[in-house]
Amino acid sequence: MKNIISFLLSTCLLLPATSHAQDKFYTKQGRIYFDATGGMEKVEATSAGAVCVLDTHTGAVQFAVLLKGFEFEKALMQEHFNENYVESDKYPRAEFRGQIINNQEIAYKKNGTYPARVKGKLTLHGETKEISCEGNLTIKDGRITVTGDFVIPLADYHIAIPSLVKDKVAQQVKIRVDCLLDALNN
Amino acid sequence: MTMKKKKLILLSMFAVVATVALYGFREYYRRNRDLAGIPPDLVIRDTTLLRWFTAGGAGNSYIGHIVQVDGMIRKIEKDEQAHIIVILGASTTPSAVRCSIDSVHIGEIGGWQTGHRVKIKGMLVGFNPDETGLLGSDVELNRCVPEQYTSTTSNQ
Repeated sequence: MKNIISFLLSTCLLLPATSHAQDKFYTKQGRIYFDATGGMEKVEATSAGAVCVLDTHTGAVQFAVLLKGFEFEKALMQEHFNENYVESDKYPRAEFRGQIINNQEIAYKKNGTYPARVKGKLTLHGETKEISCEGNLTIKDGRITVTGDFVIPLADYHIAIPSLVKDKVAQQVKIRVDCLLDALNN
Repeated sequence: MTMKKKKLILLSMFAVVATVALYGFREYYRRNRDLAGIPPDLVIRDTTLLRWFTAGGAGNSYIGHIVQVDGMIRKIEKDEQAHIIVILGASTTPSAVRCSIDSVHIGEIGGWQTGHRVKIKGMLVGFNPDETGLLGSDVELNRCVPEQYTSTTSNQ
């Protein structure tokens, strides 16, 4: 009898912690693309090292990316991006903390693609602004692919574009997120 | 001014303009360098490099520099776009040094396995601290080039 009670007690105590861990999905290999093309020439870059954590229970979602990890086709563009625009020595990371508003509508245990509305705060270049975007969550065999597109105005983040290249760099930057998340306990 | 002198001045001016234009063109279209054959600014153990970031900011001064890391392969991750990350670090902690392999050099790590000792050179991108307390903090290197692979497993 004593054994049964202690078993039930330990099960009750451990269960919340276990289900909590199972709710979390993550990657450290998330892809973030941005496109700031304003003219004929492409101004775009990719990072394949974004960290993303999603809590399927609460709908909380978090991204972090090192700005020096963005790779451009042209080295000069990459240098200008780091030194003059985002000042990555001073502000090394960009991060987003937000919430899936319609989290209750997503059946995380069932394969399928679900639209997700996300709202949260993006911190870049030392400035934090509220943003919202629409994306998709694709659930397949216990893994979640998060995709989403949004646009940010550079002026909101105090990123100034020199007048010499004003026609080449867009004032509104398109950002695309593409992350394949695994369960944290894997 | 003689005709000869005029021609010489014109020729010199043309040479200067052509040199500047060539330099500008090459600089504008310059791509990121392949780090193979370039000597590293720092040679360090994976565990020491991590400590340089987690305990104080000694590693910050090497961000943007070429660093050669010596460590044990904990894991090799490959994504759907064949992008490969070699993760170095002790198995006792989730924190690690993450080396993103330059696509030009992916073929060189074909036989690499976990538990083996390697030397990898790459551009130090920075440090991603773990704020969740679940994932571990990481030092990130990009455009990595394999330098040495020891085919015997090592105990760390």
